[in-house]
Amino acid sequence: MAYSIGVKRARGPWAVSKEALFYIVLIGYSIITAIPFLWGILTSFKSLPESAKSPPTGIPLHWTLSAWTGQYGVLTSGNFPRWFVNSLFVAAVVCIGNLFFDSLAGYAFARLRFPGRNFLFFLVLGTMMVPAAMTLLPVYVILTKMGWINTYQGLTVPFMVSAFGIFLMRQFFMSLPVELEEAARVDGLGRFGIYWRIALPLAKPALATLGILQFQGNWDSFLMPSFIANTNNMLTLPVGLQHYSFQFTTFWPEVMAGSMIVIIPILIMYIFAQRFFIEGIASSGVKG
Amino acid sequence: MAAGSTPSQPAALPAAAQAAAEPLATVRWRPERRYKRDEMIMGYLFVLIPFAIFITFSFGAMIFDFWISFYHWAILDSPRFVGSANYNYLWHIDTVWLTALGNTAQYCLVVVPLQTVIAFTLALIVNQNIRGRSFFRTTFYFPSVTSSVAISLIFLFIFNNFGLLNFLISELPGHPSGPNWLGDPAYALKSIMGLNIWTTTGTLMVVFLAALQDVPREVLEAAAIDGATGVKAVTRIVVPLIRPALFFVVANGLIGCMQIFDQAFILSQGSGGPNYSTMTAVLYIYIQAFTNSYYGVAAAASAMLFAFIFVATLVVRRLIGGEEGR
Amino acid sequence: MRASSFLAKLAVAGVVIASLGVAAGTRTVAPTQAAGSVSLATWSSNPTEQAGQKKLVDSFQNKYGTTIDFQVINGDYPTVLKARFTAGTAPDVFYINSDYFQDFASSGALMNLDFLKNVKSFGYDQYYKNLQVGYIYNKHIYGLVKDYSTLALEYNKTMFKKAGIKAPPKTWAELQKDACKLTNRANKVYGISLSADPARWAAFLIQAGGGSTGGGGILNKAQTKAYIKSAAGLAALKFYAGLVQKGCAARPDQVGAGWNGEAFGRQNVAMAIEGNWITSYLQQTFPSLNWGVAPLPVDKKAGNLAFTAAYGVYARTSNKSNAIKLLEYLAGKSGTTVWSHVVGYLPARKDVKPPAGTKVFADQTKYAKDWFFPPGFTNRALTPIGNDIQAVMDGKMSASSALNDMQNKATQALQNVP
Repeated sequence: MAYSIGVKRARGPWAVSKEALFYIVLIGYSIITAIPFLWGILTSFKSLPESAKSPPTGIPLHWTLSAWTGQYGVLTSGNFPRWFVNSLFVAAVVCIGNLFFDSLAGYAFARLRFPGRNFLFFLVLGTMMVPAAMTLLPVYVILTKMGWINTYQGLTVPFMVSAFGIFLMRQFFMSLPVELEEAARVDGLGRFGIYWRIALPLAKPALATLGILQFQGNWDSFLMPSFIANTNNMLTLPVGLQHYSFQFTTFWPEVMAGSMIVIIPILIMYIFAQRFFIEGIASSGVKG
Repeated sequence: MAAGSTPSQPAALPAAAQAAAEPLATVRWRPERRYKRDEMIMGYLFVLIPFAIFITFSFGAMIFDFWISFYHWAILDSPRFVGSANYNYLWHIDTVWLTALGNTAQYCLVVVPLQTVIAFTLALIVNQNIRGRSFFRTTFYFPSVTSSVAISLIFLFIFNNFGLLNFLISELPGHPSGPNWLGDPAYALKSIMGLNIWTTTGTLMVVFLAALQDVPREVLEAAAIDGATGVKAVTRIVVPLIRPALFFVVANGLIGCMQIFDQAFILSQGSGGPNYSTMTAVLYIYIQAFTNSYYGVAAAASAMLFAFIFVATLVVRRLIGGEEGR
Repeated sequence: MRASSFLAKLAVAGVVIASLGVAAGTRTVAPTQAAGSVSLATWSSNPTEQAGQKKLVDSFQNKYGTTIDFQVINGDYPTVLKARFTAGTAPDVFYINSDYFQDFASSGALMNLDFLKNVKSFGYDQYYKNLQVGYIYNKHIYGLVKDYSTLALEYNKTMFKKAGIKAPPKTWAELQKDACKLTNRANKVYGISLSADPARWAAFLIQAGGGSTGGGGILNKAQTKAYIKSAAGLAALKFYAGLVQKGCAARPDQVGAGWNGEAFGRQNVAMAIEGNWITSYLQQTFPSLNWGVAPLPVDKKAGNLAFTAAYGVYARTSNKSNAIKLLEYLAGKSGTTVWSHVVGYLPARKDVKPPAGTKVFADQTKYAKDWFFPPGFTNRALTPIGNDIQAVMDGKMSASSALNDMQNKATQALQNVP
């Protein structure tokens, strides 16, 4: 619900200008937010010489697709299609893995009693405090020893369980009314059956939030995949983009086009599902 | 998010802190209670695979890290015990680590307050009877959702000495010439700060917005009647009411900032330059581990970074307080 | 009963998910060796090099009938190689760089190639000794240099003509004069692009009469001491950084470019100092540029640097005979000829003629010091040296204190690391 701080109820010229000020600030900030994306997209349709011009041109003088389909074009010469597929596959597998494993563990923590339950949960919480930087090395070494470097297993399995996900699902399951499950027990459903048939379907909102966050998080993930995958065919999109950009450092139209390929799918997903995105973040912050 | 990794970070500490209190509250430990056998077995089975993965790649990773920090190891040979030599190297011999820590600290001390204040201000404004509130919310949030690599590359282009930003600056009255954002050691880190603030403010604004909407109307109206308006109303009254959200924003901002990597890596082309000005803690760890293959040193640095993050979060908790703010 | 039905479901689910990952993974696991094949790994490179590699691979396969499993490694090449060694999926033959050569050689990952000295048809004696020296460790051969490049002065013929300069500069004094004449700051054009990089500045150090005979001209032959701090070093630093301070030269980043070659191609500068890798770059990216190559301007004497790359063989390869056959082909006379003529790099063997258009670079070979260093030196010394050069260019540090710092860092880096 909205209310007005500092704006007296009376509507006078002073009140109006304050509101105008607010709009100016908001619109101004929206412009700041939007400009880099616009700049990126516009540049991707310029030719290389035009992109290097100083002073820079805004709308391209000559629209061209050379950055997309030309000699070093991202769609034709870079391995972007392959990287796109890789990212899609990896993000999807990690997402599904998370949905399954995090809800399993979350449910167990919420509803099943077994010795050591609290201890294990503290363990999970503890790792949430560990900076990602600390797990770089060991994960890399472990994957090396297992021979999983540069494989799809290496890109997916370590990320199939997330402490955040376990925590989220546990919170949710704890908020479910126990009566439903008790009734199911009376009806003769086993533990797994209760989980699978009763709790999980009820968890759809939480699962949707978790799924979207995991998919987006993994799609954008750069640090870990950058040292797990190294032959060209195995790179995910952000890593491929980085390699491509380091190789063609100042082919700006091409690099911008590559950036767009990474951004646009999530943008589309975001537009359709932004309610979930935003509310997921908001609730995890506010309600804890 | 600022850390550029999977979203395990956003809810990290505050959620952890709160949840730590919960299990003990909701499940009272009754030593004489016996566990139903099938419930027990089910419990273990449920967590079996998740924990196998978890122990290996998260928890086990932590332990391994700590262990290898006392060894010298370059992958091709076997680890050689060196005791505290790595830590000694970091503190006394290698000045770059101290520079990295300094950069990271400087970075956090600027970015966290700035992005908190900007996000809060924006949230306040949007929370007014503003039309198009949903549009603004969506727009501001978008940068956080996009790949940090892609964004950093766009900004690499914008920050170019002959790029868009300097062009815009030169169009200002007086025609000042903008600095060499990425090539001048005095400005390189500031460029990354700007980039990060641009990226993360939206998310934080959303959190603040959600919190503000829980603040009851009557409270503020009462405050307005009492004569508290404007900034006073905000600081004395609103802020304490949204303390959980404030803690979340500051703690996550801090944790994210202390681990900044992607942007520093891209904008400095992996070098941490110019003149180590963009060398952050995690970038240092990355370079030591993957370019120099000094795994022991990198692990020691990771352990130290973890300690700093831990302490910093405790400090924030002290200053701002946890979830129970009311 | 409930437990077992649950177990069954859990097992199924686990298998499904695991096999998703594994099944897809086994398609692209680091390649297994089919019988009669050999693997060759290279770092990622530009299209010209790729063309050269393709030609080599094809001609080898046609000649010997053994298939080559050609792998391109992106990312941090030496680290990935090390990971492969540990995981048991190492390539048989691979590229290697002087930067990390000693790292690999000292850990026993490289095959001892001394036996090649006795293979008459291979002609080991044809290698330029001052280039091959970087790949000998503990008096044994562990790598074969595959190509090299020296530095030269590239100049923009159109700009020179406009400014009325008849010939490219031959001495430092001429270089300074020409650079200042060609500078037009209002148009954002500078005389020459100078990067804050010891891999360029060291040539000036040598020319001023400083340095020594070992790595990069900076170290002595035994790689135990650095020879930066000297009157010659001071003169070289003052000249090099001084050009930027005077405003007659610019660093690539100051003109919005990533490296000297790009600044040159964009015509933000009239001259650049780069190796002959710039040739294919300019041909592809700025084909209409009217440019020429000249020897580096000299001071007290001529001096230059040689940048090399080499082939190595995995010591524990299971494919020994094929690997050696591939190595002998690639590094032998025919392979070297193919490589250097397709890609335009200088051959490291005397029995292969340098390709057309590289004469200026090839002529500098006798003055060139091989650019190679002990492990860790690059990061612990070369990077700070570059920072110091930049600081002097920006006027933030005096040349003499920078020189002191460079010498200190180099000396420290030569001592043992943790």
